[in-house]
Amino acid sequence: MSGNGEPETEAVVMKSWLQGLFSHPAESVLQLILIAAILIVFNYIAYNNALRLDLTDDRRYTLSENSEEILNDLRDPVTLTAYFSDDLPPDFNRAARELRHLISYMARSSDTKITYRERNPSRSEEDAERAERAGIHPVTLDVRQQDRITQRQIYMGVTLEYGDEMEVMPFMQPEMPLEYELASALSRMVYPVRPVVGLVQGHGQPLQDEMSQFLNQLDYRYRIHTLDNLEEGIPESVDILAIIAPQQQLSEPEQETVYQFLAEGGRAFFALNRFETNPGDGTAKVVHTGLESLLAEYGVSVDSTLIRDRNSSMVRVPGQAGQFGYANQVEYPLIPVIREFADHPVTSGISSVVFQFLSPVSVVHQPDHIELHELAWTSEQTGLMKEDFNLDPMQEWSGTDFLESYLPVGVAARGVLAGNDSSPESALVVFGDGNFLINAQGGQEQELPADNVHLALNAIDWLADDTGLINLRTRITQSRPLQSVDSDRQTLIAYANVIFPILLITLFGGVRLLRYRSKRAKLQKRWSANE
Amino acid sequence: MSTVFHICRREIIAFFSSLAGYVLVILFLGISGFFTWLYGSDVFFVGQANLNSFFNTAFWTLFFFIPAITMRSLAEEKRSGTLEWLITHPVTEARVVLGKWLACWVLVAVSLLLTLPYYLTIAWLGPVDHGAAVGGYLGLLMISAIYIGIGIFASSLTVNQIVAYLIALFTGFVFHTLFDLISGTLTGTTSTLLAYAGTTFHFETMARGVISLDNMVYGLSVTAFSLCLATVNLKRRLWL
Repeated sequence: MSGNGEPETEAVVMKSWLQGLFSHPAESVLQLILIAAILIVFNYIAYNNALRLDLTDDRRYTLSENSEEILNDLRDPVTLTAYFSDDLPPDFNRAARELRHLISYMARSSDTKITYRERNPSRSEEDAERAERAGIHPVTLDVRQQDRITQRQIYMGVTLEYGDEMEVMPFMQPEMPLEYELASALSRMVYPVRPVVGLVQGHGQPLQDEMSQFLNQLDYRYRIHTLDNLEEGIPESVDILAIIAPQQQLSEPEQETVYQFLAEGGRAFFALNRFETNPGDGTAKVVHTGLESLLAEYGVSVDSTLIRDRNSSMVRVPGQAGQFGYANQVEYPLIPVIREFADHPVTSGISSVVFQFLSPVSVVHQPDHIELHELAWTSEQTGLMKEDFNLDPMQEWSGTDFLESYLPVGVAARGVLAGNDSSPESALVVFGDGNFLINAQGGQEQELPADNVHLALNAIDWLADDTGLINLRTRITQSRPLQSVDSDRQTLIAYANVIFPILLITLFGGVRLLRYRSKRAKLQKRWSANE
Repeated sequence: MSTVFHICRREIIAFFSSLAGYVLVILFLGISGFFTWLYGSDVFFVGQANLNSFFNTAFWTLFFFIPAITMRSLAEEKRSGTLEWLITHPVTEARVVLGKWLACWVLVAVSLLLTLPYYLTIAWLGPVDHGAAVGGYLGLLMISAIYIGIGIFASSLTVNQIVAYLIALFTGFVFHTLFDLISGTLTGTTSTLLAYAGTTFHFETMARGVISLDNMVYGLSVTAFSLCLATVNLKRRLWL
C-alpha cells in the first residue's frame, strides 16, 4: 500500500458504497433502474461491435489470408451497398448482421478503403429504384407473423462498386458462405481478367442447361467459352479445357488438337463416363472417347469396369401391389458415395461426393517428368463389375460383391509430356464419371450435393493455378465424418459413455461416504474412550 | 472475497453430502448421455465428429437441472432461519448471494466436466473441431451462469423450494424459449431485440466456436441483474 493510504481509503469508500446499495426502498428501485439502463447500454455497444474470438480449428469465422491479400491489392475505394428490407425474418436478420460484421472486419483490414452503406428499398421508393437499376429485385418469402403465414417481398442484395466496375449479388441467402461471395466479387473487380474455360460440346455431352448448377458457379470466376468443333483448334484465350461426359468418340484431328493443347502446357479437366448406361433395361455399353491414348501418355487410365460400393446412395424403385403403385427405397451400390480423399488442393474441404456409374481411374505407369496424385478412393468394401453388367437396383447384393477396397477414382497429373521438354508444364485432372455434375435430365431438375460442384470447381481452380479461394469456398460446409464403426462396437461405445460418467460420480460419492463413516466411527470410539 | 469463497465451499460440501445432490447429477448425466449416445439425433446417427448432439441436449437438461440445484439455496436458509444467523456474521447480503451463485456454478461446471469422456471419445472417432467444442462448453457455462442467477433470485422470493423451482423454471423458460419463439413470429427490430434477449441466440453462436463480445456482455448482464434482484430481495426484510 502507498504511504499516504489512498488505495485503502478508496477501498473503504467503495465497500461502504456497495453496502449502502439497496438499503432503502425508493433508492433501491432507482438503483435497479440505473443498473438496468447501464447494462442495456453496454449490450447495445457490444451488439454493434464486431469484436469476437474465433476458436474454430480452421478459423472459419475469421478473415482468411486470401481475403486479406485481395483487400491489400485494392487501389481505389470500394463502396459496398446493402439493400436490406428492415422487416426481415430472423434467419435473414442474422445473415444481415453477419454481413455487417464481416464488412467491418474487411474495412479494418483494407485501411478503410471499404465504405459501407445500407439502403432500405422497402421504405424508400428512391432506394427501390436504385436497387432495380442495380439488378436487385425483391424476393417473395413465406414469413410467419404471429399466428399466420404471410407472403412478403424482401430485399437482400448487395452491390460492390470499384472504380467503374460494379458487382451485384442480387440475393444473399442466410446459408451462403458470405466471405467467399464477397472475396470472389472483390477479386473479380481487382483482377478483372478472368481465366477462360473451354467447354467441349458436340460428342453427346450434356447440354449446358443440364450442368447449370456447376456452370453457374463456374461462371462466377471464369469465362466459359463453348468449343463445338475441336478440329478448328482451341483458341489461344482458352486456359483450361473441360471435357465432361462425352458419349461419342472424338475424331482423330480433335484428339490431336487436345494433345497439342496439353503438349504446349495447357490444362484440362476430364470427367469421363466409361459406359453408356441404361438403368431402364439394365444394360451398359463401353464408350470409347478416343482420349485413352492421351491419358496413357500421362500414365492414367479410366478402366472399363464399373464400381459397386457398400457406401452408396438410396434410389427409389417403383413397385406395384395389385392396383396400388408404391416406391421402394433401396441402396444402390452403383451410385457410390466417395468419402476417402487425398490431402490435395483439389479435394480440400470436400467430405463426400456422389458419383453415378463410376469407373476406377488407375495409374498404369509413372512417366518421366510427370507428377501423379490419386485424389479420391472408394470405401473399404467395394467391388468391380467387369462383364455381364446387371444394373437392376432390386438385385440381391452379397459380401462377395465387395471384396476390393480403396480403388482410385480420380487422378491429378502435372508435368511435361514426353518429347516436349522445352514446353511449359501441363496439368490435368481426371475423374471416372461425368454424371456427377449433371443436375438436370429429361426436363427434370435435381439439386446436386454441394461437394459435387465444389470438387469440380476446386479442380478448375487448381488447374488455373488459383488455389487461394479453394479453402474459402468449403470452409463453411466442411464436414467431419466419424470413422466407420461396426454396430456392436457402436453400442459398446455408446453405453460406455452413458455409464462411465455416472459411475465416476457414484464412486466419488461412495468414497466420501466411506470416509465419513470411518471418521464417525473414529469419533465415536474416541467419545466412548473418554466416557 | 474470502467470505464469498467460504460460503461457496460450505455450499459445495453440503451438496456433495446429500443424496439429493448425487441423484441430481446422475439424472443430468443420464439424460444427457441417453440423448447424446442412444436416442434420436445421437452422435452415431448424425455421423459427424462434433459435440452438437450433446450441446443441444445439455442446453435443455441444464434448463431443468439448474432450478433444482438453486431452489434450496436461499429458500431453505430462509425457512430454517439460518439466513438470519448467517447475516449476523460480518457478511453482506450481496456476498451471500454471490457465494451461493458461485457454488452452484462450480457444481454445474463439475457436472459438465464429467461429460469430458464424450469429447474424448468423439475426438478418438473423428477429426473433432477442438475450438468449437471449447466454444460449446463455454456457451453451456454461460447459460448456466444466467439460469443460476435466475434460480437464486427465484429462491430469494420464497421459503418453499418447489415454488422456487417453478418460478425459476418459468422465468428461465422466458429466456430459454419464449423470447426466441416470439422473435420467430415477428420481423425487423423487435424480432432482433427479442432474439438477442433469449439465450438460444447466444448459445448457438458460442456452440459453433465463436465467442462474441455481445455474448459475454449479455451473459454477464442477465446474471448480474438477477443477482442484484436477489440481493434487493434479501435486503427487503430490513426495510420493514
